[in-house]
Amino acid sequence: MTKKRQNWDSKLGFILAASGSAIGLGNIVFFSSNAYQYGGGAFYIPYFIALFVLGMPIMMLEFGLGSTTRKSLPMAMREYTGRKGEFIGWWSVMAALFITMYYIAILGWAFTMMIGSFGSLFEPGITAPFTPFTEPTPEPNAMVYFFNTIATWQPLLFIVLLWLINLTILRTGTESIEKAVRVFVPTMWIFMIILVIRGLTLDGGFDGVMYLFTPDFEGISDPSVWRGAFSQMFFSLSLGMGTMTAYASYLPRDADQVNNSMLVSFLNCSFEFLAGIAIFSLLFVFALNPAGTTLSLSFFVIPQGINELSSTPWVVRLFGFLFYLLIVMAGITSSISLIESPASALMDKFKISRRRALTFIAVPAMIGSCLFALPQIIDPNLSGNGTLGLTLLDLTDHWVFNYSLLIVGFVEVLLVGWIFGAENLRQALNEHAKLKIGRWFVVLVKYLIPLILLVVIVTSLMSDWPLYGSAYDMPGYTWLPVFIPIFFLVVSLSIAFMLTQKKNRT
Amino acid sequence: MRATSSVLMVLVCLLVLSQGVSAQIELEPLKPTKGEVVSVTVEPPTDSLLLVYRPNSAVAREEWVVSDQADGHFEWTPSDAGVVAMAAGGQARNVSVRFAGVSESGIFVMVLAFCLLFGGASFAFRLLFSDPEAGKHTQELDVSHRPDT
Repeated sequence: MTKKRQNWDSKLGFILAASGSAIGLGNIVFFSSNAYQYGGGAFYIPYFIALFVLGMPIMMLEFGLGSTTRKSLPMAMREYTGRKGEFIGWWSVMAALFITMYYIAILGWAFTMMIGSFGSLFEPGITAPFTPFTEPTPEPNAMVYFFNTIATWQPLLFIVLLWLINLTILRTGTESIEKAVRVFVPTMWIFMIILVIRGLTLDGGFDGVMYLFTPDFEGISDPSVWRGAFSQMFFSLSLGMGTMTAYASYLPRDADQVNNSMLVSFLNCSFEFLAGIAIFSLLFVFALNPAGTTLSLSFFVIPQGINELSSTPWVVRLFGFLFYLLIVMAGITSSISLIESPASALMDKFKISRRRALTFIAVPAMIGSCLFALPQIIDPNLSGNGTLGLTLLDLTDHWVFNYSLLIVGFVEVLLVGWIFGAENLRQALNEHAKLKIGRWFVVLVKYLIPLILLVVIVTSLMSDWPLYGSAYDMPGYTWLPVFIPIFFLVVSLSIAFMLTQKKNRT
Repeated sequence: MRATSSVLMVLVCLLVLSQGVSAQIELEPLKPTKGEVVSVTVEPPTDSLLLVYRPNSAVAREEWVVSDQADGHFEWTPSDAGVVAMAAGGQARNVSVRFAGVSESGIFVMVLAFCLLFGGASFAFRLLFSDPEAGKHTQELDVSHRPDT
């Protein structure tokens, strides 16, 4: 029996889509933050080991699952490993859906900042003193602007707009995705190169680059450096979310997935390399500290550096606009893959139309995105630290993004490695690969990767003990750190179980 | 994509400190270089100055500079290049210490990483387009194809 399935129009289209999926918000600032915290150039040692030992092999596995079965992750896992595999696949897809909700909420904030670039957000040399969260001053300042703006209804409007953009891009599947990434991905590279050039031409910019790459080996012996590198690689390459399998399922079965994995991984890490140069040169020149979260770096710290780029207001605003446009585009190319993962899974399982699958996903997820932005709007006092506002996002991100993806990855690798057989997968990949993979792949998939992921998960749990977020001072919401992980686990596992039990439509 | 609030708070404090009261710690020269003496003046005067190299990192390193003068004047010779957080008498600011010349190890790591990443990408791109016919077959799904389970 045969069933028509969409295909990418070209190999380049697939590569742009998959690399666009991998290059997201985190790539732009998170690598810089990690490199700064873990010894600059020395961080490249665990980073490259993580790339070759964990990143590329799991990507080969996920691409291989997609292209050999031509199915999305849950159905591909079912075909190779049975029902338990399908259950893990659905759990992974549910995690992707949860991530999409708050990811698009953050994108909505970035969109608000982008629009703010035309107004008072960027002014040359602005470093106005203020007391954060409690007494925002009227002076234009990125942090004040951010907290004032997310307390308005504007972000909701942009969240809905971003959802509409995502759905428009996904409306005809690979055809419309390919059209979008052919514009977005090269533009992202061009913008990043512009930021690199500007950073390097600043007085002292090259010292910033040297600061990024000069190794400090003192930190290498710290286990948290290695844990940071391995988890960063896992998240950076968008593994464990079913996105790569969904995209690869639209490739012909004779596609070279070994080379595709290498190319997408190298492109992703090359983008991080450039982003590191752009951010370090900028922050070094103005003595700004690159240690921080994606949120704090993107919305508070980097805008300060941009304000110092020129004494000409329109130049500062142009760079501010380019920076946030870059963030929005990187976010969209990732969010479309996050939505495509559950959409293709529903289409495969229930044989429903793309339009219906997207509706099933978009309605609850759009409401979820709005719910993440809503607390700050309803009560502006919640838009600070240690309140329900950002803490809700922080806790969800911590449990959904950090843990569920790693656990899914761990079980996925175990099931494929031991039930389907790592050797079978190696042979299937090598069948169409120009660069054949050796038996090391079997050792990695069966033993080393599960061991590494297990160590990362266990040590992360230990470092979170007694419970992540329980130290936050949140009067009235002290139950939140317990509620969030339980809520996510119950909801995602129940839906995954229910979907696994449903009969496949043919 | 973490939004760790504790880190955020530390960052906020640093930002506030570095922006709000930066005028209280003066440097000469304004852009110090590794190994070259920097003249630091703290107002109001204090007897010690705390320097944290690579603040907020796993490899942060502290250094105290003590002055026996009562005018809050310090002589400091940066032992490392990079971002340094300065704190004295409840005041703080960040400063970027430049490299004295070119960092050979930095250049080495940069070139190595560049060659590995962009070289790897170029190699894979060449391989991708080396056979224009590959990857164009098997458009139909054949469910009988199941690798040996």
